[in-house]
Amino acid sequence: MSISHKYTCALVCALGLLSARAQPASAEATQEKQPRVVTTASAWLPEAGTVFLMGGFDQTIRPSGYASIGLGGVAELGLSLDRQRSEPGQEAKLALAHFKMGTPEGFGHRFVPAVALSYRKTLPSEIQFISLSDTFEVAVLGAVISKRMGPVSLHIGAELFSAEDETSGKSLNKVIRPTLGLEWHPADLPLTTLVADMHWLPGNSNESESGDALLDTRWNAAWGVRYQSLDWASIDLNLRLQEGESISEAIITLGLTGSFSVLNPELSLERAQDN
Amino acid sequence: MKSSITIKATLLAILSSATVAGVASAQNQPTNQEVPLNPFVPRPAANPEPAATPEREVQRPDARQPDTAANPPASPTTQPDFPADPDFSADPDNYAQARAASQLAGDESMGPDQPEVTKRRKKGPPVVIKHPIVLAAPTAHLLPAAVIYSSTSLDTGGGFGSKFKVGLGDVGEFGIETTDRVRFIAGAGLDPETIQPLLLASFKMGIGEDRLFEHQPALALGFRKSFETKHNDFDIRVAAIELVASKTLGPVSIHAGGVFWDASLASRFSGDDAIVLHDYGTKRQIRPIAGLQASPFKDSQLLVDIYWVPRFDLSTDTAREKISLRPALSWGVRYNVGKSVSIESGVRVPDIGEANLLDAQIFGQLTFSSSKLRDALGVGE
Repeated sequence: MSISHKYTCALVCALGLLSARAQPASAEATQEKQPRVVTTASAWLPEAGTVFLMGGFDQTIRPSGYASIGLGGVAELGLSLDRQRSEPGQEAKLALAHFKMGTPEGFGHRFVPAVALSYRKTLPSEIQFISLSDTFEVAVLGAVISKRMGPVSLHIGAELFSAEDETSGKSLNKVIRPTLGLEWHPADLPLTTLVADMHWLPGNSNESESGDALLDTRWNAAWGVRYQSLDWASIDLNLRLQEGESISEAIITLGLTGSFSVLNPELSLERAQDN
Repeated sequence: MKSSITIKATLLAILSSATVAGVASAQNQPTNQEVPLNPFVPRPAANPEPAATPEREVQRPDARQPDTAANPPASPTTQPDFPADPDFSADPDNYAQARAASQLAGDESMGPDQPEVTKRRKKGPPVVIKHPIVLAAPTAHLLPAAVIYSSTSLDTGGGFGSKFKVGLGDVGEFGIETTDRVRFIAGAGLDPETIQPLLLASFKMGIGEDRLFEHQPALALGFRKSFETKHNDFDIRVAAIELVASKTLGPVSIHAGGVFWDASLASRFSGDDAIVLHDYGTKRQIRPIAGLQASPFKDSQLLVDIYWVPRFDLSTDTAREKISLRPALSWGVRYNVGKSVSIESGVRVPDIGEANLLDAQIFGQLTFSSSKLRDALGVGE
């Protein structure tokens, strides 16, 4: 067993121990202030010590997942597993670590939106449990603001990409793309949220004028519905479509999201009361 | 073989730091069996308002009052990095007063008067511990006397770092650490790799904020030196002198200073002279360092700092360029999970000069501090 696998084992054990103290988080944390809209990051940050776990499958039973923990109400640290079609007919598995820090909505002034700065990076293959043989390496630095306006939450941001495919030698360096997310909480359906978002990811190879092999970015759109089945859990049904695909190639994903307070539930409760 | 040694060294570092600091801090954790009115035994907060709130009514201590535990300020100038127990004042006579009051009221639950020799030993006032580092850059804050501090970090590139420090007499600090910050490029076209484990000893001395006069920032002079390390058939050594000033302004702390590095690279098999950084001028050795801490909430801090570290580069032909100092940017947060435990996480860019986004790493760090040794030694009573 490599040392990196030992690190991973230690991390999993630590999360297991933390889960032993877990308590369900608030309904607001689960339904209204999720760290992602569908696949795009929002500026919402989990409460201190709140763990988010999301897991799901698409129509071909390929898994995706997302796990994160809130740090002090000002940051989020987590892992995610997703898929990206890097070239027509090919998929890259993206196991990403992410860190997001920011300030909550209304910080300093009630009209101030939530602001977050995030960084995502693919994990090196040697520290992943399952052999994800993809050599597609991506790093994304992003900034996003989120604002709740009545029944609608709006998320607007921008992301700076660098990517490299070691197999083909293709690369993508410092490309900026926008992100957009929208959530609608219908007043007459209090347990339901309609969600939609759009962002860009590396893929779709091109050749530059100089003949260098390059990666390009392709837009990814997703929309769906989130149903708050329990105070601490919700069910998500989403449809995802990528640039260059027909609607028949869209991916349908069914997911379950849960949130739990660990580490210091008293502090989380206290902060919620303060707010 | 080398990998095996690395694994053993890593595990040893984790075990030693976790054992010493983690166990000590665990002993500080409250239990239901604790004597309830002892003002110096931590217990779960009935009233969660801490000693220092985010709004922080700043009451600056009188001049010449150090911010360390040996002579604590009447009111902290800002939120301590590890918060003091909110339920109990720093008055060591509270326990006796409370017990006398309860006995007058006919309550014997606190026990009758005992001979002097069997009375619970009085501990010193709660210590205010300020972190000696931001994320990578040092601060001018010193650990209080006999306070133990330990932190261990991992990042997404498999990097590992650990620090173990102890405060000396409120004016000094000694530490042992292993770092993954120093990097090595083995040849042209190769990516930088971290030199691990790179073991360093450190010593820092200084004076606390407002110690000499009002508004005086904390000042510290630190020295770090590596043990000789073998990497890729080279003997590597680094050393640094750091001069830092820290000033707390309400919820924000600013740290600024400079670092003076020296480093050497010597081949173990060729007869060539070692390449030494100081042979190429002082200008190549001095760099500024800066850090910023902000506390939007009482249990958390936003942190950003910039620090310079040596990089050994064998891909260049000129000896002058084989050792250079590279700027490292880190940003992240610190979350105080408990009275003596905090979690830090963030992003570090090892070389912002190259601006390679793929080179950045996400890290997580667990930090313990313990005043158990201080209490056992009776420091600050």
